[in-house]
Amino acid sequence: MGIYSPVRRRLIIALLLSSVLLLTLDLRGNQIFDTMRNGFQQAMDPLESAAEVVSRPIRNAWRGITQYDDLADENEDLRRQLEAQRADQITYRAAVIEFQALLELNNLPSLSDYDAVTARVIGETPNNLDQIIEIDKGEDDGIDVGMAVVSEGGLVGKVTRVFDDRSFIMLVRDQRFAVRAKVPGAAPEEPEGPEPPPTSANAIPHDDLTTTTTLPPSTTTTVPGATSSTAPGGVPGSSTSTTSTTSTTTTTTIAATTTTTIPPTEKETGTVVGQGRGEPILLRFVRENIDAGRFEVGDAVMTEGGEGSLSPPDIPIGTISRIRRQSGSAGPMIEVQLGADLERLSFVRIVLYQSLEEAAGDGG
Amino acid sequence: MIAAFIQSPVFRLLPVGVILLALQNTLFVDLQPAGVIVQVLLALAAAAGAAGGADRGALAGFVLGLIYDLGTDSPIGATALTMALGGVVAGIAWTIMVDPPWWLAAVFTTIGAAAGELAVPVLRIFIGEAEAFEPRFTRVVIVVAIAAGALSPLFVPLSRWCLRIRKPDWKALAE
Repeated sequence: MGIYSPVRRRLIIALLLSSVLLLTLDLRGNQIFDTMRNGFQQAMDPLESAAEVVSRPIRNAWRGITQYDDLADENEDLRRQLEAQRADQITYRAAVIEFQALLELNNLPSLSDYDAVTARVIGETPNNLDQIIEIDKGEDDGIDVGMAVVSEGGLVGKVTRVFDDRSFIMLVRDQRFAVRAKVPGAAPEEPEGPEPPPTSANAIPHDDLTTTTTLPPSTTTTVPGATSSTAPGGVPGSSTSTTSTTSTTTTTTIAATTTTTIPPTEKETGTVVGQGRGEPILLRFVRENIDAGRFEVGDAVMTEGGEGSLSPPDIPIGTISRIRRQSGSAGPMIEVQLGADLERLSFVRIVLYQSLEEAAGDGG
Repeated sequence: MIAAFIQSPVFRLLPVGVILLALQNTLFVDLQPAGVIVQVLLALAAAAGAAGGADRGALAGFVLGLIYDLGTDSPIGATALTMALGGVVAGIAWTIMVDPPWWLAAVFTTIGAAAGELAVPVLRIFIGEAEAFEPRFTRVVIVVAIAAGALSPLFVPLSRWCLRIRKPDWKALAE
């Protein structure tokens, strides 16, 4: 740097310090900067539209060169999957209708209870670190920071910045994204080793269940003459004797009751975090309960909701694609295959849901 | 004052930066070699450094970074700082040779762009983000740097035009 005069050095230092000053002011929240940014982005709109039109042939050519084989393979794969899922879809649709009806019957909230706004994706952040998209709806449509964003496939992200007529959405795969999640209905694991043979028609191999067995009257004896008897094994209080001079009828009802606990449908909770573009989504801080059931590839992952969560419960996030069990006390590292296709987002829905804490904060 | 602004290096840099930002937001978001978004504004800032020295690189990086911050969701000043750093690092070329040949300018544009891209997560850590480094970050830096080097034969003359750097200026600096 010997060729630089002190003036030039001072200029470099002044520019760097100015950047730091601007950064500090913006991070502290500055209305002027927000207004400037909004105005600049609105001014950029026509220019970006022009650039979009001008660059379309180049982009199409690029896609043709780089993605043709992938698209052909994907198309074939999707056709196969579509065929396989057609029958499942009918079954699932019926199940969803039943589920919604049950929720309604029990006055439980479901996702369809919340209002939602449909918005068009108009941009994507052009850097390699942030996973943020821009939509064409904002505060004027009731959108607020923190609201969950979904597509047909499930959770897409959350609103991080709102202007009057546009908003920015942080995608699930962003490294800063985190949402409470649950794995509902993990199936109990079958005990290892040979299964013991059932002892009777009523036998249940798992001893963790409540059984109430009412045996039919075990003894019905009609004895000439005055005889009164109680069947062996009869339980006092549960046997009745009727004696008459001509005949005696003994009726015994044995009620054997074992009371234990049935494990409820398991609900393991953790936190879903992004790891950046091209990396799998992780479900962390989850503890596997062997007694209740182990996670399996294909298990559904959904938002947990709750008082402190910004997202309502039961939004599908995806399915478990890989489980890395770790030794020691650390819980498993679970990779989640997202339900939503973040590479092809054209329209999204913003769930106009505010958590109880947020709503209380607004009210107070 | 208006005449001074028109004569200043920033005057030409602003429209070029805005046009490049429009292309960045549309064309280069789609054109992703190895899944990485090429950073054209950073490439221009680094090219300005290689073409005009560290101070001009810092100025170009600051202006282009501000345009980028205003046009995207990144905090204002964050990209200005990283691009200015990229321009300064690329300007180290001038410590070797005041009028570097195209290939040396390309090499220093590559180095400057790598430094600028590397500074992004470092800055994010400073402003409180816990996990700013992505697992694929090495690939991101390499692709962004190589792309900047590849664009330098175009961007070095463009930055000379923007910053009004003429041949006599280079010679004067060399003497």
